[in-house]
Amino acid sequence: MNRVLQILLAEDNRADVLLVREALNFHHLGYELHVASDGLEAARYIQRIDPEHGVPCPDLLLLDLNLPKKDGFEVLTVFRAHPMCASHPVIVISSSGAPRDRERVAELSARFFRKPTDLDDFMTLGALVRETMRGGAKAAATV
Amino acid sequence: MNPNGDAASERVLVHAPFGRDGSLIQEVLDKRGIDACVCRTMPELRSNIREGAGAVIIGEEALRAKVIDSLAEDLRNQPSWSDLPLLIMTSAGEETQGGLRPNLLELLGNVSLLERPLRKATLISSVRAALRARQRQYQIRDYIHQREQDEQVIRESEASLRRANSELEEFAYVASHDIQEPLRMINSYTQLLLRRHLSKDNVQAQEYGDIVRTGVHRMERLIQDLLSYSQIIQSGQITSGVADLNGSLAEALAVMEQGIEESRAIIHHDYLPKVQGDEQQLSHVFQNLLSNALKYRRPEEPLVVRITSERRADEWVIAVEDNGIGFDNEYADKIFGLFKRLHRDEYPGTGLGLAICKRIVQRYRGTMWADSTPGVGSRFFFALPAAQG
Repeated sequence: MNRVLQILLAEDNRADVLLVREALNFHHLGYELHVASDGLEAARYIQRIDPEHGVPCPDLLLLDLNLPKKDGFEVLTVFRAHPMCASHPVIVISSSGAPRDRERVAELSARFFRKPTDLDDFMTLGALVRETMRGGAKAAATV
Repeated sequence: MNPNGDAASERVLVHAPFGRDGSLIQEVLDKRGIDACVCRTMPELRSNIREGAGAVIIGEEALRAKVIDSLAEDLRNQPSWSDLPLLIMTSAGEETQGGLRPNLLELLGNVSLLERPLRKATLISSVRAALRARQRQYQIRDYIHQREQDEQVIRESEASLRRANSELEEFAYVASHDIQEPLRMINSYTQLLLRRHLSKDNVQAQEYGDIVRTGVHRMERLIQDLLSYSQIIQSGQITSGVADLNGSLAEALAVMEQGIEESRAIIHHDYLPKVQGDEQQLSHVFQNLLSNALKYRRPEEPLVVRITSERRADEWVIAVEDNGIGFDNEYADKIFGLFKRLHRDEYPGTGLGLAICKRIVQRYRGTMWADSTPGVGSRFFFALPAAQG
């Protein structure tokens, strides 16, 4: 995984954007982060995706659920509906512990990362991203 | 039929199209204080019935007309409580029903026949009997009406309770979520600050960081406990399950296993009864009581906990007794209050545990109380209705 990962992060909380960067850096991931600070902005970003015209689908979508304007599930639905992104990996990062939310996330073939209170625990997001990308590459190779 | 029970509902309608029968009957009834109203035509009769009537007197000759079908229709469509008494005066000298269509009297429902020539006494007693029967119908009507109103009130209050409950549930969830978010930031960024901008050798800074972290974790536990407390009080309606307390206790012992082993506590327990309640929730009660026993044990003596049951009338009283530090009996009620803690700093806890236990027990129409001798031990009791059968 030497290539720079293109990551779309939909997150309205600046403090969490910073923590996500910390976690990715902590695990020495090479990445470029595109931040959408509300659901509408994320949906617009996804709708503009067009690899032939130089707007590739991000390798990974990191998605908060509790977003202004459009919530995370709406964004995820838009993402899954896009022909270029339908099978791209998604990690939902949320502070929600509701089982209902987790189920819905799993139904939309996304992974779930509950935002932890401790910094060290938050850093494990980087490891999850690494693992997801490896698994995603493997899955893509076997298809 | 007029539902308001006014004067119209007590009157007698008289429909005798030929001769002077109508006015004669009216005169006789008037003298006995019975309100009578003569209806010349069938449409007039029907319209008067709609306004309200205690009984109807009809001459048999009127039943031959075709318009009788519409009257029969009206009577069929009476509300369930109503069965308007009809007194039919038969034609003199003829076989009763002779000239009538078969089954017509049945179609008209609550029919009594008065043979002509009419005797006054027969007329009056028949009318009085009919009015009496009609009175009973009105009572049933009022009763049904009242019950419908009561049911409506109950339905409305149930709906509003359900709304309030779901709003409260949402509120508790959102509140806990929104309180936890800034807390997470405080903790993460304090740690980040320490790591990035203060040397690991700065012992005091690290110590302060630990204090922040402890505070945050305590706050998290508080929010969790408050959330489960609010869930218990809002699921206010009493459910009627049966709980095998042996199952509840076994689960609590499994959850507390590590703590019990570490403190080398000895737990004795009876074979416990089945009570009305929820096994899972009552396990929570045992967990809380065991956790308290472990927390408040006397360090110089091994902890011994005894769990016993005793039948008292329709209830089982469960006692959880320990040989811990105990508490002053003065506080026996207060410890079940929200955020009530007797030992502020030496012992960890949110002050919600016993409040939650008491609420759980109360949900199943039970009671919970405690007593203690300081330095000797505490006894916690809860009583629950015995399982039926």
